[in-house]
Amino acid sequence: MNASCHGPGGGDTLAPGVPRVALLGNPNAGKTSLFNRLTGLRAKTGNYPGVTVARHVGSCEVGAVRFTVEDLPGTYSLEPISPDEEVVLDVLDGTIPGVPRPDVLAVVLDATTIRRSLRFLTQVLEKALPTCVVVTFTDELARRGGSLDVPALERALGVPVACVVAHRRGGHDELAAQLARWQEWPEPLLAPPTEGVEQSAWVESVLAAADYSAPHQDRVTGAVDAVLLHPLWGTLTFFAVMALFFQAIFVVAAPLQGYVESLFGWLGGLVADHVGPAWLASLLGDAVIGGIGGVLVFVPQIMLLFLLLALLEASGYLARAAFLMDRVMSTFGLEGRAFVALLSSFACAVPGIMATRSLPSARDRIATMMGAPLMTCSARLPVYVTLIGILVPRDSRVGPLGVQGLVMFGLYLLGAVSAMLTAALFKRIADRGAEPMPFYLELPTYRLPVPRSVLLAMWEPSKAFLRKCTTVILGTTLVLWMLLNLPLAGAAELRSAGLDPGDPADAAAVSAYVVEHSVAADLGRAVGPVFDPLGFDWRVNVAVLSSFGARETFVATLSQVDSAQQGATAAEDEPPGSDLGLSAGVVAALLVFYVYALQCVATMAAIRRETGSWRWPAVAWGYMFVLAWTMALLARTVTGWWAG
Amino acid sequence: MTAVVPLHPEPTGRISELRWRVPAGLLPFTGPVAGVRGALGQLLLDGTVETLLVEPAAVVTVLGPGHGWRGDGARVRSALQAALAEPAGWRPGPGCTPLTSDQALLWAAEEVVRGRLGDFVRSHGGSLTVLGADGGVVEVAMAGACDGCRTAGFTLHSRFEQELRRRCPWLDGVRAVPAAGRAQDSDSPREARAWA
Repeated sequence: MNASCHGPGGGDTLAPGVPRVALLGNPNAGKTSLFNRLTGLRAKTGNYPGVTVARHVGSCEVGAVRFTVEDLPGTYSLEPISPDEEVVLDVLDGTIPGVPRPDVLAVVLDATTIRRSLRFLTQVLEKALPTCVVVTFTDELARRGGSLDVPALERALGVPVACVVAHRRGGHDELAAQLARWQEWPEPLLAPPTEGVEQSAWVESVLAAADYSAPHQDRVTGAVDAVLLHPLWGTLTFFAVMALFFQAIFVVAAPLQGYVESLFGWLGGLVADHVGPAWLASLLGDAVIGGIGGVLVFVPQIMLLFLLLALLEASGYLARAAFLMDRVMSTFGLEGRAFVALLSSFACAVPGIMATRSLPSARDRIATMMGAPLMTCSARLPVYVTLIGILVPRDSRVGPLGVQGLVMFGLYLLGAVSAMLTAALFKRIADRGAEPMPFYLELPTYRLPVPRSVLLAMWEPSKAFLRKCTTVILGTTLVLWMLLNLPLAGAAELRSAGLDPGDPADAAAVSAYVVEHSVAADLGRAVGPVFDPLGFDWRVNVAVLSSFGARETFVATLSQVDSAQQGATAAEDEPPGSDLGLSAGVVAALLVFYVYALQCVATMAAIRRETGSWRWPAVAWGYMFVLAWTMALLARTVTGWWAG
Repeated sequence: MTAVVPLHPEPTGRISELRWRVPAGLLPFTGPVAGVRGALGQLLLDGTVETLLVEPAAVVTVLGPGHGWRGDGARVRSALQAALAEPAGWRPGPGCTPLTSDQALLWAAEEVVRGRLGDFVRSHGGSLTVLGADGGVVEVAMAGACDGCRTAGFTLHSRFEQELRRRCPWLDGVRAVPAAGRAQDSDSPREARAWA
C-alpha cells in the first residue's frame, strides 16, 4: 500500500483508479465526524491550490475496495456567495487544477433540518455524479418527537440512502459497504428541480412520501438558550465562561507543565554531566534543551486551549457566543460574520484570516483581517504565561479566582476589544454609509461533542505547534545561540578583563562576559534607541527581535539569554527571565507590546495570500508596531505611577 | 393561486416511465387519461408523452419513442405541475373508474399498512388489515399479537391515524373492528394473566 495515498497532495499523488468520494453538506450536519469515522486517523489537512481553504483528504478501505474520501467545506448552497462555497462548486465541476473531479458524492443531511438540506441536495443532484445520501441525527429527530421513514426516503429520492448516528458505531459499516458498491448505484432518470415552486413542490412531496414530521424545538436547547441568549444573563454567562476558560488553562495545565519542565530539567542535567566540550554542552543545554524546552513546556496549555475551544464549538456554545456578540459588533458597524472570524483567531490568526472568506464584502474582509491578528492567539500564550509568572505571584488571589488567570483574561479581553475597534476603524475608513449585508448564523441544537472529533480538533493544532517548535523556533534558537556566543573571546581578552578562563569558579562570569560582548548584544544595543523609552534593556531587545518570526521564540530566547547570563545555573522552578531583574513597569510594557505587535510570519503570509499583495501585510505590521510601542509606553508609565 | 401541489417522480423500473407521486385523491378518477387542458395536453398530443395514467396517489407518464427524460423531463414536469393545479382540466379516457374520497382513503390506508408502520406491527407478531372506508371513517382489524395488546390503541390512533391523516386530510377517524370470532374487548382475561 502506497503511504503517500493518505496525503492530500496538491498535485495528487493518489493512485489512479482509486475512486474519490467527496462529502458534502450543510455546516453542523455531522459531516466532519463522519469523515473522521470513515478515515480514522489517516486523514491529512492541506490547502486547495491557490486558495487557503483547508482541504481534508483521507482514505477508507472496505474489503478489497479502497477509496479516498475528501471532506468539502460545509455549505448551504451551490450558488456561492463566499470563497469557501466557491471551492465546493469548483471541486464538483473539476475546475481546480490538480484537484480531479470526484467520482462519487455523499451528501450528508441532518434529519432535524432536512427540509432545508433537500434544497441543497437538488443542486448537488443536478451535477449528475453518482450520489448517495447520508442521513444523520435521526436519534435526535426521534428524541424531539419527529420522524422520518428512511427506506421511503430512499424510494422518493431515487438514490441510495444510508443512516448514521454519530455516537454509535452502527451505520458506518453499512455506509462504507454502500460506498464500495458505488458503480451499481441507480442514476435518477430526472434530476429534481433546483429552483422556484417546482423545487418546493418536490421537497414537500419527498418529505410527505417519507412520512416526515419535523422535530419540535429541543426542550433543553430552548431552556438553555432562554438564559444563554438573554441580553443580560447571556452576556454575564459569556464572560463567566471565558473567565473559567482561562482559569482552567492555568490551573489544570500547571501540574502537567511541571512534568514537562522536570523532563527537560533532567535532560539538561544529563547534558551538563556527560557532554565534554563546554561549547557543545552550552549548545545542547542552552540552545536546544533550554530554548526548545522553554517553549515545549507550553504544550499542555496549548492542548488544553484547543480542547476547550473544540468542546465549546462542538457543543454549540460558540455559535451562541457569536450571536450574542453580534449585538456588540453592530455597534462597531461590523456584522456577526466578522465576529466568527475574530473568534477563530483566538486559536490562531491564520484560520481567522481564512474565515474572513465567509464575508461577501471585500472591504469587510480587509477590515476584519486587519483586526484578526490582535485577537489573542495561542502563540501569545507562552509569552503571557511567562511574563505573568514574573509579574504576579502564583498564589495571589481575588476571592476564589487566581490573579494570574484574571490578568490573562484581561489580556485576552484587551486583544479582543482592540481587534474589534481596529476592524471597525478600518471599515469606517474603507467605506462610509454602506448597508450591512444580512447576517445569518445557525444556532445548532446543543449536542454532546463526539470525543473522536474533539480529540482530533485538539491534536491537529498541537501537532502544528510541535512542528513550529522543531523548525522555526529551533532554527531561530540555534542562530541566536551563535549570535550570543560569537565572537569567541580569546583567553588573552578574558584575562585582560580580569577573568581566568581556566578557573571553574569564574565560569559563570566568563559566560556572562561572552554574552555581554556578543553579536546579539550588539544588535540588542543597536535597536536600543527604539526600545529605551519602554525600559527594555539589550537582553529584552534580543528576545523581542528574535520573536518577530514567531512569538513563542521570545520565551526560548529569554531562557537562553537568562541561562547564559547565569552561567548555566538558572534557578529551577522559576519562569525564565525572572532573574533578569525586570521591573513591573517593563514586564507590563512587554505584555502590552505582545498584545499589539504583529510578530508572526505565518499571519503576514496569510494576509498576503488573501489580499493578493504585500500592501496589506505591510500596513498591518506597521500600524500594529506603532500601536504596540505606544501602548507599551503607556502601560509602563501607568504601572510606574501605580507602583511607585 | 392555490398552494403548489407536492410532486416528485419515482422510477418504475422501465426507462421511459416515471411514477409521479401526487396527493391521494387529487384527481377524481383512475385509469388512462384522454386529454388535459394546457401544456401537458400538448405534450400528449405531440407524442412527447405517449401514455398518461392516473393511479390513486400517482400519475404515471410514459415518454414517446425518441424522447428521453434528460431532454424532455423538465418540460413534462412543469406541464404536469401546472395541470395538477387544475384537476377539472383532466379528461378521463375509456376504461377509467371514478375515484371517490372513500376509495382514495382506502387506498392510502393500505399504503400505510404496506409501509413502515405495517412492518413495525408485523415485527411484533401482529397484523393490521384494512377492512373498508365509509364516510371518511376507515375500519381496520388488528389481530395476532395486537389482540389484547395494551399499546394497540396507541399504535392505531397515534401512529396509523396520524400517518393516514397526513396523506388524506379529510379523514374523519379510524375504527378498530373486532377480528372474526373474537370479542372486541378482550382486555380482562389476558391482562389478568399479564399481571399475574
